[in-house]
Amino acid sequence: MSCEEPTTSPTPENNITVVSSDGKEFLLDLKLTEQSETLARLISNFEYDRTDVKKDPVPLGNITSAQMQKIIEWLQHHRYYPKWEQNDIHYSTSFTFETWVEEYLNIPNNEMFELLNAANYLNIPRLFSTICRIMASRITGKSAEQIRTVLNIKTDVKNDVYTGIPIQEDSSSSEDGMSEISLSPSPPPI
Amino acid sequence: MCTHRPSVFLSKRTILFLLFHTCKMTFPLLKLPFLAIKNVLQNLDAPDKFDFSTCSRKCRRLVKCTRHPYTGIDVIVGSGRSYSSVILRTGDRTCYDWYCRGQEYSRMRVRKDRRTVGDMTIVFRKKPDKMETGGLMADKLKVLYKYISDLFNIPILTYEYGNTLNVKLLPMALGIKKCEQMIITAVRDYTLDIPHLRYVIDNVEVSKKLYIGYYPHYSDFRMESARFSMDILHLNTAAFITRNVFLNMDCSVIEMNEASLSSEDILDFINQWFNSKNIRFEKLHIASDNLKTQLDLNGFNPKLWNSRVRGQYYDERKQMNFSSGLDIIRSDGLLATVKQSAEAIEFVL
Repeated sequence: MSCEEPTTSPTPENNITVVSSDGKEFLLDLKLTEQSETLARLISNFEYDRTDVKKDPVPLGNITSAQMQKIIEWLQHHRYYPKWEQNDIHYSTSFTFETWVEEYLNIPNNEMFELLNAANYLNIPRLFSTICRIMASRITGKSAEQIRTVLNIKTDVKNDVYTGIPIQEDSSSSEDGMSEISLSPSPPPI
Repeated sequence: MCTHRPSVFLSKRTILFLLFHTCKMTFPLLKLPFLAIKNVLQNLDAPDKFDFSTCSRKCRRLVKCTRHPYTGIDVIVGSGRSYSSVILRTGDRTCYDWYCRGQEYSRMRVRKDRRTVGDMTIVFRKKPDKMETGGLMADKLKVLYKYISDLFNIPILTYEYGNTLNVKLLPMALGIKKCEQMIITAVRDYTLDIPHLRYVIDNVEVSKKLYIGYYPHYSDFRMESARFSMDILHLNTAAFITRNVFLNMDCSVIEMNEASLSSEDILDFINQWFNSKNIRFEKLHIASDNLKTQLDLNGFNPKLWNSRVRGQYYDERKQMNFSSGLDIIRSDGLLATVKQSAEAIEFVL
């Protein structure tokens, strides 16, 4: 889905200033902040949408300037999109994304992780949900060991969860030819 | 003998480079808030959730806490020794299949294909529609279906057993205690005292349908105290059903072949229904060699079958023809038709 973006010049009346954790200030149009439930609630509580109220800069201690830049880019792109409505995603998995979104999220995993945390903090549901789907698409089709590598998970399965009995090897896989492979009770941690 | 071990030295720069790239490549999902983890997991399909759950105990707990659309599993034991399957279902739709082949795969012994499932490490080959493993064993099937059922907190919908010699894959060996449907096509169980059949009848709670096709005939085996209360009961070799067990049945549809019941037993069943307020019962079909005596329905004020009151056939398959039957009406107005032939008695509502 794409929307035309009419250009509007921000005026002091219709924007607020947010300050990132590294002290950089960003001027945000109030229209953009509607996409962030955290900011929208803050603006509503402090009545920053009124022209006669003095607007103090809003400190965002959990978000760096790089992340804020990235988030503003997202908010700008989705400025004229209809309000996000959560579909029943539990029962349908779709890994098709807009080209713009694919390019926007074509970033290393560590940056993606930080961006997801920022989206969660600012409560931007469309961005949050999109990153979650992107992450799911990166896990899909991988084996358990590959998932462990991608997600940096160290296994803790040594004994059966319920019985406490040490895990057995599948006897069908412990025949000749397996000797070169380490057959520890549980796959070794990465 | 000289034993030299080649030592590997990594420069500080190389180590930093590797660390930097490892950090860039990995996505520490488990460090995210629970809401985010849940959202990622909800976007995964069943095989990926399964694989994720095998990564660690924490991963398993996370999958267990996530909402999912699955309604149950089917445990299928195929004919011969060829295969067994644990099939994940959403309603009538098959979501995924964990498939155990009878024969071992030689190429499957790859480390990356190993998963820790319950108390076992199983080698699986992952495909879009199914996950395959080799070497069909009762232990493996038991671990697998219990793990999947527990992971998604879903019941067993259907247990199906084909014509196989492997009695170790019958419900007793697998520890199945509850399911909606149990379909046992044919069993070649010659174990003394037939414990597997006793287990199915005494210990498994079947709610919808129990079908037992061929089961070896033991002249001295009689089931004295079992209670059948599923919707549909179909026994093809029902010689072990005694009069008491028969009169205690609380099913909608009862079909029994090779029964040892007599015409008097069936008359008592009809009498029991006639004097009750049972509205669950729909159909009884019993085939036996002991049904030679004509049923005496005079006590029920019977009338000859009337095509204006009831059509000629019971269902679309036209297997039950009422043309020579007798209609009886209960005090609450329910109409039943009884038809007796040389080999069978049919009593339907």
